[in-house]
Amino acid sequence: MLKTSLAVLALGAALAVAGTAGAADRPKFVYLTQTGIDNSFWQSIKRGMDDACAQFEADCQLIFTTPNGDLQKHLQNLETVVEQGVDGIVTVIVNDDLYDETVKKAVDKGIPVITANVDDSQGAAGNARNAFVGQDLFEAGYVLMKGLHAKIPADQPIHALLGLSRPGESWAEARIGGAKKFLEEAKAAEPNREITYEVIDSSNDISVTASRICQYVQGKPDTNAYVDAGFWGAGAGECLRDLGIKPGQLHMATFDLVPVVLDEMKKGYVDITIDQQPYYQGYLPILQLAMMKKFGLSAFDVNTGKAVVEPKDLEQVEKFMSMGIR
Amino acid sequence: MSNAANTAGEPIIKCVGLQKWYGAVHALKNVDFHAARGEVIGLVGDNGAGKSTLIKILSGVHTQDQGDIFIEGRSVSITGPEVAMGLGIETIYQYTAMVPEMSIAQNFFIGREPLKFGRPGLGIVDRAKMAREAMEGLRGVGLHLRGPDTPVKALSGGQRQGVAIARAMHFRSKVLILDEPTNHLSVKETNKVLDHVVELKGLGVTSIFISHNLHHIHPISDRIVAMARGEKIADLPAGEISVDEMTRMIS
Amino acid sequence: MKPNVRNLMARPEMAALLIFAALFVAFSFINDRFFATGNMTVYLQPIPELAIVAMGITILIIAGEFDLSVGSVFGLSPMVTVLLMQAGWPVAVAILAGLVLAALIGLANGLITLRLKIPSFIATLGMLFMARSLAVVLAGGFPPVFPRELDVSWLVGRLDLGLVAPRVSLLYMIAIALALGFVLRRMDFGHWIYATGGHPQAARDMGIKTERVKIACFMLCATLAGFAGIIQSFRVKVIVPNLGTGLEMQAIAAAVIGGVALTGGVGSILGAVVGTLLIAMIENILILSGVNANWFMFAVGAMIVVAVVLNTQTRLKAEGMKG
Repeated sequence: MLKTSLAVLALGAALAVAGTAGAADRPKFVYLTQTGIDNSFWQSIKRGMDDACAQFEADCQLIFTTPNGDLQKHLQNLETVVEQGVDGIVTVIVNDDLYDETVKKAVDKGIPVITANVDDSQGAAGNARNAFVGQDLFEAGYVLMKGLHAKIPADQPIHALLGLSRPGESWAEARIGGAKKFLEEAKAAEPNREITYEVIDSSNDISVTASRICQYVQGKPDTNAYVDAGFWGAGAGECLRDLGIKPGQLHMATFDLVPVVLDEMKKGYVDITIDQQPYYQGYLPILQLAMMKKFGLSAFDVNTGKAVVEPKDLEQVEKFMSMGIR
Repeated sequence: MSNAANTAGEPIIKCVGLQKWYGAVHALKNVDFHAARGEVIGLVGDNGAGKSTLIKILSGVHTQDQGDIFIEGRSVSITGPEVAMGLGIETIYQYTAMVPEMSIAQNFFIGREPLKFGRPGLGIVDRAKMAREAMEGLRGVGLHLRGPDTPVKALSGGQRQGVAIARAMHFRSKVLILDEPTNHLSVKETNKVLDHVVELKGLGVTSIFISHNLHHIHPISDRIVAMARGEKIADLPAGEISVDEMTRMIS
Repeated sequence: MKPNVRNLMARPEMAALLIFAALFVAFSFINDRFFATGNMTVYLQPIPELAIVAMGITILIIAGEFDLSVGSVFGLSPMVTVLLMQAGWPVAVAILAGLVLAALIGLANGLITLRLKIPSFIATLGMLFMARSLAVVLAGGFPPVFPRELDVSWLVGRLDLGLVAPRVSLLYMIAIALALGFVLRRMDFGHWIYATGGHPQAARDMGIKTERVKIACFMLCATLAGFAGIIQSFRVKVIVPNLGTGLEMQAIAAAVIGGVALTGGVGSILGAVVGTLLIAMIENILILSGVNANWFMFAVGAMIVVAVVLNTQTRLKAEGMKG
């Protein structure tokens, strides 16, 4: 028994060695996210990252944070990587202040940093990162709410539920913030129309989100619009049908193209989604870092998230989804 | 081997009219009990007879609902084990009240550790004193064990009971309650325990010995107290009753 | 083997300490970026915060109970402290308030468990959600902004020791470890904690007030978790409602690796610290080695199991050997 345990431990140490035996002159890029490994959306980003790394002959490492959403752990990982000394870093920034010092340290050390997926809410003014590749979150939330508004006849009130999947994380707050802004503007523009909304913590665990939405709707049956800060709201389709809610009664808008969203779109429960093109978020930062390393070129911002997807676009989109690209 | 009931005078322990209910169950019905200094009382009875309840009240685990207890003539209220121990009543449990992972010395003094400094609950323990006195105590009952730091779980059942008895002795018990202490012991270990009880009798310690094994109890007891269905049904010198008669009485 | 050495080997934290030392030396040779000043400095940063929670939960587990709410208290105490500071309270009083709240939560955990007679696992599981929810409610949707100009150097300032630059919080951790270790080993209350967890019936029959002992441990555990949370919040100068989410699992893992028995009555402060250092070291090495993201969690989990198995095996071997 003791021998077996020692053997396993040796195996573990061997794994540790194996990781370090990379070719010495390939650039090393590290991509960090605050999310846990169980987030399927990130597999698309990883696909983009892997393709770029293969193309540019670089060694890439994607580091998730365990436990999911532990910002301090994410920061700790970032600091470890900066100390290690790599050729480029891509990271998500979900809090305006937390990462500032470390990102600056990296940039001062000559390590370029590109933020992806979520940026400092003040952009370049709030953080020393070289560029941002991702979706304009606030704008996206606004666009989604606007799209839902268009689907509801002008003589009907709007009772909207906004699902804030992770309170306190800037990406979720920004998207819902955009939706709220649209609703406030609509209230001002249509003073005779009843427009109300409520924000709840809808969670980023799909079964929990589904259950919370359905319970809310059970309590407030005149709810006719829902915007999720991510894709998890689509999971509510099942229980909404159990409640006897027909397609078109509750208009849902979500983010991203994951199978459950497309499925519910076909069933008529999700009206719109926005693709933030995760493949780009994995691919473009690596491309930039590789070019910066090789030719000294500079970084550039990219807004990857303007692709609004409605049921009419489904066929084309599905083809690329099956390839793991979208 | 039974001696005649000895030294006259005030009984060291006297209970009058004890009553105890557990919910609707009347576990003790108006029980009187007394024991003299240096007496060995064999407390017998079938399961549910009430002997456990009587013992638990004397050792402070439970409190009686009605009735009085006198120790050396003084009326006392035994509200917890530490009160009983403070009155000189020590109990040897069937399961041996020892913490297996802790050492002999630690178990010897558990709950009443000698302090170098401070008050109980906020005190710095005098480890050297504990080790010394524990080993002394063990030698006093003829136990020669490895060392004070040996974890109790390394000892046999009989050795543990030996340590428990040595512990009771150290704290100058006046009354030693033995609640079925030999149940899980071998013949040899059982005899050792019985020998200890006899030795203690010589030192003036009163023992109340509960056992199912009437053959163990009879030879060493001065008096037999029998209980059934919560009442005392017999209280007489051991010499006046045989083991067979005892068996019939309590079944 | 001499009895003293054998007794040493049988101690719960010994195996963890040996594994830690062995891996530390091994990794230093295998990966030259491991034992570098910068990496060591970063590695040591969050150790005090995790170790303090691990120590608190170790003591409670020794006493025979669990606290799953430590992660939530870790987030709630600093939330309260920062909100009070924002409202103009002086720093010291705000911190004290955060600690008192933590102690009260510990008291609640203890009373619910002991008076209502439900397993502490369940009681503190409920508190995990309640305390976390309180933190979210107090934050009110947008987390309060940490006062960035506040002088926190007395708690988390950098200590330049030449070879490595740890935070001042490391000193606090060492002081707390020494104090708690002293209580467990040299004070009568420490013996009562081991007895209460090791054999509650025996403890009670020997006159120990096990309920009081446990409640004290519940309160200690929660207060330490709150203090650790305040340290972390002050170090990263941010307070978010989900600070410390999932920490209870990490703390229990560290405690178990350090030799604590989940059944109670066995464990040590040194073990808690070593367990923390070991887990953090494994994570550090995995990052430095470029281990593929999807295997990360697997590697950490496997290492934890191996460490505990080795721990148990070494103990059994040591106890089985003749003195």
